[in-house]
Amino acid sequence: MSLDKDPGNMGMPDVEEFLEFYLLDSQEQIERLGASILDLERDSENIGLINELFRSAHSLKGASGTMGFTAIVEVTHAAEDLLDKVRQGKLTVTHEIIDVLLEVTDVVKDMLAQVEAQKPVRHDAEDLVKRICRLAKGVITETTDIQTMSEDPDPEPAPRVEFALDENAIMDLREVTLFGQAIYQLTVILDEQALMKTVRAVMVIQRLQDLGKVLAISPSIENMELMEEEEISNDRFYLLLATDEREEEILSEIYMVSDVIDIHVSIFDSSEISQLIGIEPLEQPLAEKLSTEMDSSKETARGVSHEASTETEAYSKFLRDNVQPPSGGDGGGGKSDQVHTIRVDTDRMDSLINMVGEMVITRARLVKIGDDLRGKFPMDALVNNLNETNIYLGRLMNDLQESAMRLRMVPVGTVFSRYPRLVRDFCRKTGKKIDLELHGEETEMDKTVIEQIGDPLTHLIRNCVDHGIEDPGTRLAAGKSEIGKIILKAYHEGNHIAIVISDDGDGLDLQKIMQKALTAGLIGENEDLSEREIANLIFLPGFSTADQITDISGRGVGMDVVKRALSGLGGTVDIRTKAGEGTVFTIKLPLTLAIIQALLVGVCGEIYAVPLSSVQETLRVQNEDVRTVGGIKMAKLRGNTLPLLSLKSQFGLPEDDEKETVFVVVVGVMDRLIGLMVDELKGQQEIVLKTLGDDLGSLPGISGATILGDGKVTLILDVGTLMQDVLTY
Amino acid sequence: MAVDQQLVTFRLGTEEFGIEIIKVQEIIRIPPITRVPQAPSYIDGVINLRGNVISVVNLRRRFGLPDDTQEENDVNRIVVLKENKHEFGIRVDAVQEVLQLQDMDLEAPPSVSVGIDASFIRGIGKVDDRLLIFLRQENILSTEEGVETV
Repeated sequence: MSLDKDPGNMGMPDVEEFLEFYLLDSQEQIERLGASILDLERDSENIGLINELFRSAHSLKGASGTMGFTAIVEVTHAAEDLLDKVRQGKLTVTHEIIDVLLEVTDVVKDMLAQVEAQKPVRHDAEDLVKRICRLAKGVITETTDIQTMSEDPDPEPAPRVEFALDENAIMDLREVTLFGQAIYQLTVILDEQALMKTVRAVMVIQRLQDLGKVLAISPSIENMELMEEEEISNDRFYLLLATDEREEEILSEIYMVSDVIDIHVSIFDSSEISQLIGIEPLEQPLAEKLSTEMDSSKETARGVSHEASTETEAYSKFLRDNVQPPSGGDGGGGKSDQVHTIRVDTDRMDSLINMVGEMVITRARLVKIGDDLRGKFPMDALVNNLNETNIYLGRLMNDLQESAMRLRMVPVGTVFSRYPRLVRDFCRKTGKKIDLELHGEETEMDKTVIEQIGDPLTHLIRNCVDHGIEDPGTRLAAGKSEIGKIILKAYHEGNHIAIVISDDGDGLDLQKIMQKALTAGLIGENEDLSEREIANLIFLPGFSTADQITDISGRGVGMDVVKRALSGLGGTVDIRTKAGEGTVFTIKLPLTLAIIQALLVGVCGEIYAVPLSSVQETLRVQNEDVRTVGGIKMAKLRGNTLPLLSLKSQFGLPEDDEKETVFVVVVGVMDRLIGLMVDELKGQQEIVLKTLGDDLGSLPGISGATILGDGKVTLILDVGTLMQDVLTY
Repeated sequence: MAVDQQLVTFRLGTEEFGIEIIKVQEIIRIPPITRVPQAPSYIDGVINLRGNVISVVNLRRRFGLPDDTQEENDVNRIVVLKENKHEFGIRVDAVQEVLQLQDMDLEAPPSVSVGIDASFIRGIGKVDDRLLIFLRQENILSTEEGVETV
């Protein structure tokens, strides 16, 4: 269908800036819309919710129109229409309506993605629009006594009124049109016997001022006064009102004025607006005009491009004057839980955090100097003073660091919010009945973690809905409630965030897992494993119990992918299951990725940092207890063999077998452990992660670098790749 | 070529080299260098440059010059370069001077080898009676095949 303006062509930097605002805002709007639609499915009578949905769709449409993305306008307009019918009680909410509305959010999301990718918005949504219209036509009762404020194809035509607009009014009109605010033409009919009709009119205008902007009145107040003086009978006047409020609000506000006996509300004809202000609000959008410059086929374009620049000014003025981006114009009746936020470029934030990290390192150097000085001048008052100041500075630094880190924290709810939809769609497809409960959505995590946690979580939840929860019949037969329950919850736990996914399904088939693991050669014939150990086998590579491939839990990709993704974030995952009662996945993730606890180890005078999250324990091993089996050194660890890796040989340092004892750092997870042989243990410390720079690329065994208190660079070991080297033998 | 283009010149053994001044971020004394295991042989290691970890290239190894002329003294420097928003250092024996490009005769790299891979050389300059190798710094950190690793 329609091929919209390529945003990449928008030469003017201002437009790009608006585009950014538009995208951010619309993406938020669409997320909110999606969540509210799901709420509506559960609570279909909730008029407040419907109004909110309507408003969201409306402002999305307005903003898209302003930016010139007519494809988005078409879809959102259809959705708005449908919602309007629902709002007026002409339609009841059905699953079909919910489906179609959700589809709208998907389509618009796609379109916004295209806009963001600077691609032309090409989306074949005609079919969807048609379906929406068909649904909207299925109106229960056609009521005509109140004129609708939607752009129905058949509203009772509003009387054509000539409004005398002065320059200011035209400016106002242009501005509201740009922001996609609705403009209503109101016909207020007064009791013919009423005295002082002009005063009534003024009172009406005053009341409306609270709801929006009165753009024009006809006849003018002066004329009305004149008519009253001359006793010309006139029982009505006309108003143009720009507002985001609902029709009911407008009506009830006006009815507060005495002697008002009737009010007609209708959408002000947009062609008239264009006549009045010289632009067409939707068909000839701002973005197009700005970039088309002089389209030879449009003779009007010459006159229009001047207009456009004033619009741009008006628009940027609006942006300056309003903290909220333009289409957030659902202000007044909006959500009360809105927080005051500013949007900051992540690069700027990261550089701030970087600098704070630097200061932490520099302070460590100051402390060292202070200590050295104390050694030299033990009783010196000045030195004591320095050290006290250092301690105070340390406290400040801790606070500063924490505050800076908090800047990167995002509530986990932004990820959780996508799962109700996932579960719902699944239920609709399979006939299972599942209730998804979310807890702790406000728990905050590092932005990078949030960005990367989505896919692993999706995978786990799909597993729950697909394999965990049984179909209603089986559940009833097992004496459970027909409706399965999945709980997704997040909470703080010490220095970690825990995310728990639990279902009350059938639990894992441990017998089957054992079988699979045996056939795949993942475990030996006689291994004695606890239930928990068996359950955790599913995280091993090359393991998948699903006999059938469904499109829910995907094909081929097993739980090992989940595990790897989580380990990449410095996290762990554990599983517990009970036959017939359900399965619980527990994920633990570090609060932040920028600062980690590390164990410093010394090898031949070089220092390396081992992330503490992967350290299980440290041992001191007698050299004579180290055996070489098949070229690999092994040590005994509580009856099990522990493969050893010499960091010296790994990193090309001279080996010396003369030492009597070596230190071994045991790293890894569960039953996959290896020991790193090192010369000395230098203690535990918080380190700030740094990348090694692109020119070194990915080096085996090294994941990054950090800077220690003495200013020297220390490399951080990549336990994952080191383990692979040893365990693939 | 811009009129007032300037070169920073430095010395490696007996050879003199020049590099565009706009690419030079700063010139620092040699700080402690951390060796990076399994890194390419021409990378001496990494250093802490005000909180950023940057690699230090050993130009002798990079250019295939003999290692044994390496001097260790306190005129040794690291010249920090910036290429594509990416910083790295080159270790030099000594930094010499700043030259105006138009003050010298620039010739295309000789077809006969001067002991250094021609892809690193932009040209040979003549200043008074000295010869100076004008470096193509963007290739210093790219791989052998000439593919940018950045």
